[in-house]
Amino acid sequence: MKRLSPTLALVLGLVLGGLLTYGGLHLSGRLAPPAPPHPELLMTLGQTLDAEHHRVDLLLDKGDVAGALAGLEGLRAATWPSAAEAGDTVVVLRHDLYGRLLRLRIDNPEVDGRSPSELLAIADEALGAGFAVGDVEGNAFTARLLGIRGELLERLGRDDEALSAYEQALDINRALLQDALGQEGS
Amino acid sequence: MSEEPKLRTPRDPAPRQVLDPAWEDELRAGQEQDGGAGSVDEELAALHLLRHLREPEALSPGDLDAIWRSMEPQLRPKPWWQRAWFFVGAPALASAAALLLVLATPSSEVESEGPRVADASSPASSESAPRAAADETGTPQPSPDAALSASASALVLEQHFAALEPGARRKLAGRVDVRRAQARGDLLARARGSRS
Repeated sequence: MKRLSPTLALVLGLVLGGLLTYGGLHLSGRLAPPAPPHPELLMTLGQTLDAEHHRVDLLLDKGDVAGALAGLEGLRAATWPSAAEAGDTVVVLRHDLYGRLLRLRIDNPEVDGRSPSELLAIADEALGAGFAVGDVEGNAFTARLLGIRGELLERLGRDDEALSAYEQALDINRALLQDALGQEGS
Repeated sequence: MSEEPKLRTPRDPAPRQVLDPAWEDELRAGQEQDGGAGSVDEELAALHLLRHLREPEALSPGDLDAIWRSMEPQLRPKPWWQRAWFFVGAPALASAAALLLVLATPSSEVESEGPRVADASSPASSESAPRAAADETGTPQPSPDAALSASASALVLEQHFAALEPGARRKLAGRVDVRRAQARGDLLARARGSRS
């Protein structure tokens, strides 16, 4: 068998060594960004929201829309941890809560009715001032909130802004769907 | 054909060379006369050495090969993987390559935990996006006229959310679990630190 040249063998060894080192660091989590300093905040918030969603489900099953709205508004009024404290997932949870609250209000205008402008203000409150799609990782909850915002803008006759919001939401959903299809195909 | 050994007598004036092969025969004969007592090996060895210096003996090819084989491990240069520069240089270069890979790698959290936001540099048109997205979900596709309107987009987005919500909630729950495990680990670390 022909022997490898020393230079080629050295290069192959270095590449292999580098890959093994990188793989080891990656698997051990050393390459991941630093974890948020207060993971317990996200843990508590996530459990609270999960429980509240179940409670709202039960209230809606009983036809108590006002109770469901009150529960969601109560969480909205609570003090939320920042993404710097608890991680970016806090933003996703926030969009989830506000999306459900707004959908419930839009679908039930007869209960504690709010004008489209007031609802739009709630949507903007959830997204935050100067929100850009690239600020948060693509997820279904942010896409839904952006869609609802477009719907409210449309009701207010601000069609251009509404279409822009719809495009943002559809862009996120398209990426999510492509990712899901890619995972199914692999 | 053995030659008759020449016996030297005091009266024999002819000097003999020290390399004369008769020396060995005379030494052997003398040893036999003494009843085999004593040893002439040292004298014979000196004679062989002197004769070899005068007329070097050639080794047989087999003996020569055996000698070279015995010397080869010491004479052969070390392979590259046994040299000192390799032991020092290879780990250093491998570490440098790994460091470059690490520094050149962007944050992996987004890739590992969920899909990314679509590239804003290539937005789809508002006309084609609802139809394309509806095709991918398998949800009922609105008519072209309806897709042009914002209301149809809101409907499509709600349908998308209905399809994506279960997976998104599972992912959220997974992230909360990760933070729960992290919080538990932090608490354990603090507890161990306070004990020690």
